[in-house]
Amino acid sequence: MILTDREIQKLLKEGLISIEPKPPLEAYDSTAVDLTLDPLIRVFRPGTAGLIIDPSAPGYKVTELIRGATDPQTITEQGWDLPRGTLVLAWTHERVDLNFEGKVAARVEGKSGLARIGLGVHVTAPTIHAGFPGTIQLELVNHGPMSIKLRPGMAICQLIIETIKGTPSKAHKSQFAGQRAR
Amino acid sequence: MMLLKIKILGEGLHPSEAFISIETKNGPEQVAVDAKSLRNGTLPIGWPVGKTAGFLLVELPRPTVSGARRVWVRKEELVPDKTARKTA
Repeated sequence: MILTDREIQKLLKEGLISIEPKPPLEAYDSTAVDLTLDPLIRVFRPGTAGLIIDPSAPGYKVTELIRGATDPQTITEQGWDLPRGTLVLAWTHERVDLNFEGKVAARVEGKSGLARIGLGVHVTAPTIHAGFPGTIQLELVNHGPMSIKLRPGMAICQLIIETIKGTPSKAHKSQFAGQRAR
Repeated sequence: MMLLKIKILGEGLHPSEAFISIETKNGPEQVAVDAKSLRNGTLPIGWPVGKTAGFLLVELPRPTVSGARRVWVRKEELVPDKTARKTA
């Protein structure tokens, strides 16, 4: 069940989930809340084009690969142009905490106005699992014919929050009742 | 709730992330996690989701660099989280 703006605000008020900094009222619509773009993005180096990645190879480590293949870029108020056909990694400015007491999970999705000029905000990985804490990593891709100017603080994606049925194993104590870690 | 012992290796791909190492049954694994979640060399992981002789299966908040979301760790790698709120 997708939560309405009122239900999201109720969970925030009760401390059962958190979004920091707290979104202003105008960031909500009836069933979602907008999140904004953090100034820091990671841009793939031009020399990486054409290289082949083998994610199934023994010892493959995605974080190290990305660290070695990208450069951090801080977007100023003047903005940064995302060329067509380009992938960059980005993060939301807001830190989201879907702690288990809230009994919710979420999906991060694009905004229609940005989608229509070709901007995708994730690459088939929109799920924010129950219990997730942190800023949300985005995969920004410009699928359109023109460059798209990114600015820090722009509304970049929307968070759709859904209730979960039952309690995940990692939030369920009973199977380990009496367990004592040494 | 339990805390998993970790070693901080450095910053993740973003300043909000910490790159950490954990000791698993199959050796060290690295994972980028929310830096604010870390507490004195530990990472909250909720309750273990499985157990076998001497080892507990824990679900990490994010996948490791090799893609694992659930990993087996020695019981000794976990400590109780006395600050956690009660859940089901």
